[in-house]
Amino acid sequence: MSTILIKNLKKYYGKVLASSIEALEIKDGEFFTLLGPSGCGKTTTLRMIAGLISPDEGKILIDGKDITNFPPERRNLTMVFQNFALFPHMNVFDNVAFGLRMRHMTEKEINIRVMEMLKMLRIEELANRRIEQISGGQQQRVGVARAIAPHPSVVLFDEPLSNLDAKLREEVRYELKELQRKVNITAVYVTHDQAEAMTLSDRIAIMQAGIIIQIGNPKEVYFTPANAFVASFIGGTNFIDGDVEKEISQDRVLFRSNDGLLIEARKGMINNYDSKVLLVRPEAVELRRSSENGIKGTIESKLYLGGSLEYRIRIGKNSTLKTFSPSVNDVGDVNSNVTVVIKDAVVIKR
Amino acid sequence: MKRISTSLVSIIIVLIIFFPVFVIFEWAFSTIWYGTSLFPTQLGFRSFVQVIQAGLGKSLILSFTIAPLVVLFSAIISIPAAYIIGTKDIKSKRLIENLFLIPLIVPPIVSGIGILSIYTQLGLIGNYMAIVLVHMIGATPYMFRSVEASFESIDPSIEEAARVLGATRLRTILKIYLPLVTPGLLSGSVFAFSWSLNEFLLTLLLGLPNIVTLPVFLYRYVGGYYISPGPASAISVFLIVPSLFIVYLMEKYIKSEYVAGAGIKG
Ligand SMILES: Nc1ncnc2c1ncn2[C@@H]1O[C@H](COP(=O)(O)OP(=O)(O)OP(=O)(O)O)[C@@H](O)[C@H]1O
Ligand SMILES: [Mg+2]
Repeated sequence: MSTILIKNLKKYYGKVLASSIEALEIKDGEFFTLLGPSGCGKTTTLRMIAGLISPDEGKILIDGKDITNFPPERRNLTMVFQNFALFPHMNVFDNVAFGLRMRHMTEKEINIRVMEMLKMLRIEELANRRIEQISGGQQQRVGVARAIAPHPSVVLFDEPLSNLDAKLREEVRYELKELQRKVNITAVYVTHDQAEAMTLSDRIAIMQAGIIIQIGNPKEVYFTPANAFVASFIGGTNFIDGDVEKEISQDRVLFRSNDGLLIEARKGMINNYDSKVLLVRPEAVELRRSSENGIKGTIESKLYLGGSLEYRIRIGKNSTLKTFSPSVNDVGDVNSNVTVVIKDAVVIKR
Repeated sequence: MKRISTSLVSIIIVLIIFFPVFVIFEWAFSTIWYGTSLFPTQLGFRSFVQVIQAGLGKSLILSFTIAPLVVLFSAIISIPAAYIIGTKDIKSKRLIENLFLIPLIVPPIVSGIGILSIYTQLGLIGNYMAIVLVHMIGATPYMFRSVEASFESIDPSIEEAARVLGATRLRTILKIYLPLVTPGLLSGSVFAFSWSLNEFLLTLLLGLPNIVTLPVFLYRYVGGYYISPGPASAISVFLIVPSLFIVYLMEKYIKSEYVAGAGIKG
């Protein structure tokens, strides 16, 4: 358990600015996630924290101590790798024991600690297996046990679930969350999977082109994204072009779409100079019978997805809204009129 | 049909490889044979007695102490070099790899004449360690290539995992890399060992009069105008048997134990 403080950290590859973190504080016991598309600099950032690559500028402090120039073995942190990176010449037990042996614990202590870790990850019966004799999911559990066993101050995860198949990924994800609650580690987790980030994290940093665009808890980044990029990276979106007509209260505004529709919305994180767009999440769109009050629209398309229906509703010359409704709640066919109620919308930076 | 043709091919290959070896053994263990019949007229140890009296023991000791030293020193040089070139992103990687091959391209007679003048000046002609060094010229490239290939095949994140878990660079090499490159190290050792054991030209040029290794000793019986197949074959037995024994050991112990878990990249 430890805090990480990053100041002005920069890493260039040639002319490419692979990662540039102005200021970031990761709190004691926090599960912190770096989320972003491929090539945005997540791994680069994580590896700088690990000491596997050295930054061109800036500082990293753990518990107030400047460790920027420390080699990885002196940082008291561990890492779980995307490709597991288990030691192929050791069995499961010795893999998990490796970090403990490096810390010169006695064989008796090691034995107790390793078996405790294996039990926690439900792989104790695999202790004597060779690495190539266990499945991918079991290998990653060994990777996690190996990283947590030495009780490091920080555990780093670089896309640890992406080499597992979808079903296994969900299972191990759930276990990771349980484990983090139990042992209360400070975790820095890298992923490009938004569902993983949402379910695991206390806070998420969304990165784009080497820079952190927004930091917040899963709810904040979902409901009040900093810009359109963040909004579309996390969850489904409808964007409506237009501008703020007037402020209604401190945090609510009236938005006028280019088609002339007036929609009440949350103010979000915008300031006056930004070019703005209205974000409406598909699940915030409710469809009602055309006789009811609200925005008038026509069904432009309708797709059966099994349990649900996906509608595209035209509400103006330039704007359509995508929404889902349970298939038992069919509101009409293509070209029929409906009333649209927008239950939540937020003005964001384009 | 297919089975028959494969076994036929195997038999032919075995015959091609083993026929000369078989003839050597016949010569070595014959007392009377003119080479005109398929089997010796009379079997016996006459040739062995003859070469032992001529100083086989000293040559045996020389050959079989020089070769392990050549293996040891070429491994000591090759492991760090192969670690860096095989696992790190070095700019001129290919160039360095090719530099290591130059000793194999330059004919021994050419490098021998070059070294001869240097050794003469330094007074190293006939010096034991100087011969070890000369054998390393040819043995090290084999050792290096073989060890480097092993290093290259190991997933780099394995080293990172070890470092992050608290191992220094040195401990990572000792605890992680060394066990994983053991197959490459062993096959490199076999090549280096047999290179040293069989090295003839440079040893003849630079080793006389003191350093008479087995091949140089053997040359006494096949060089010049007359050939003495009996003693020459008796000496050859001491070159062949260890080689066959090493190949047998390699087959028996290395394959299953190490190669399976060598961390070969998927
Ligand atoms: N060793 C390297 N040499 C040159 N450029 C690199 C190197 N490693 C990363 N980069 C570049 O730095 C940028 C950030 O890479 P990084 O690996 O941190 O991305 P990432 O967010 O982890 O992506 P992914 O989700 O694909 O793993 C990319 O543009 C990448 O091409
Ligand atoms: Mg990455």
